[in-house]
Amino acid sequence: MGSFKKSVLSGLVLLGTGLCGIGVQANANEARLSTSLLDGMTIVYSYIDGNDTAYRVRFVDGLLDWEAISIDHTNGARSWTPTGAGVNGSPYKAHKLGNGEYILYFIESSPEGDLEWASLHIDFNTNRIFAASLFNYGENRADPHLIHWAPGFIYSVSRNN
Amino acid sequence: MQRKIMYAAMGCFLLATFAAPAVAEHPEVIGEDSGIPFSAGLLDGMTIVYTFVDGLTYETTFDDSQAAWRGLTGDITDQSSTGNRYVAHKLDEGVYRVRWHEERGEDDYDFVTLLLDFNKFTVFSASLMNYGDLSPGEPTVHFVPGVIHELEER
Repeated sequence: MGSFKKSVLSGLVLLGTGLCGIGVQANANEARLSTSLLDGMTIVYSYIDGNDTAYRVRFVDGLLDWEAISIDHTNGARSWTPTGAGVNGSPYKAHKLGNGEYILYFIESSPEGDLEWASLHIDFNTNRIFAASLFNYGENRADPHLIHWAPGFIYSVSRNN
Repeated sequence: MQRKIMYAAMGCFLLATFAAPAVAEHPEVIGEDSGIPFSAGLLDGMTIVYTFVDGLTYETTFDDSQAAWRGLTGDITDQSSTGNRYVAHKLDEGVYRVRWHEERGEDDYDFVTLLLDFNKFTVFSASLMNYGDLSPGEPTVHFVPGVIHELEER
């Protein structure tokens, strides 16, 4: 009986050790550097393209939401109204280039099935942004490829947490 | 006999119509290129050698508003590409965003964008590879930092 107990105890120790090992290995495999560096931030910016459209972008839990807004600059005003255009929940990945300077990309799917790849260089020191993006690709694309290449200006930055 | 010839002709026509590769489609550009004057050839006369953290080393030369590269290490060793019209935007003194659209074959494209910082001697690739309708691989994103270790200005 003593021998049986010892065997069971040894078995449990070995099993526990093995499971712990697996657990450690799994965690090691899952380790990664965060790419959700802008979570909690909301920025509003316009491209320097002559349009009165601006964009409000929120970063939440590794996802990016954007909505287009129409900005009225009359007499120095900055009142805006949503245009209704926007996409929520596109996963983004960001890399910190320096203090207050980031580059990120995200991919979004349009309702028509097109994929849009967008990259943004954001400099919070100078409040400038630069887009280098390729729209309309993927096996379900419905429209011709389109490059968006534009500098922009950041009006506001807010942090939710 | 005439009917056979007619069927053969129809067959050839249908084959030619559906088997022909899609016509190459160069992307339209919106944003800076479309209305705001920009300086083409900002990096002309430069040759840089840079290595990304994934081990890929490129030597890229900018001349006549075209970028030409050759691979020096990794999977791209001895590969090269020439005649890629590039556009650069100066973000700051010594800092540029550059892009080119690379066509390897019929409807087989890469959209390459680099952030070059000649003050820090760093490079960052934010690029969409294999995005063409006939690209052999799946579209992939190359989003990695690297260092510039040689810079030659002619």
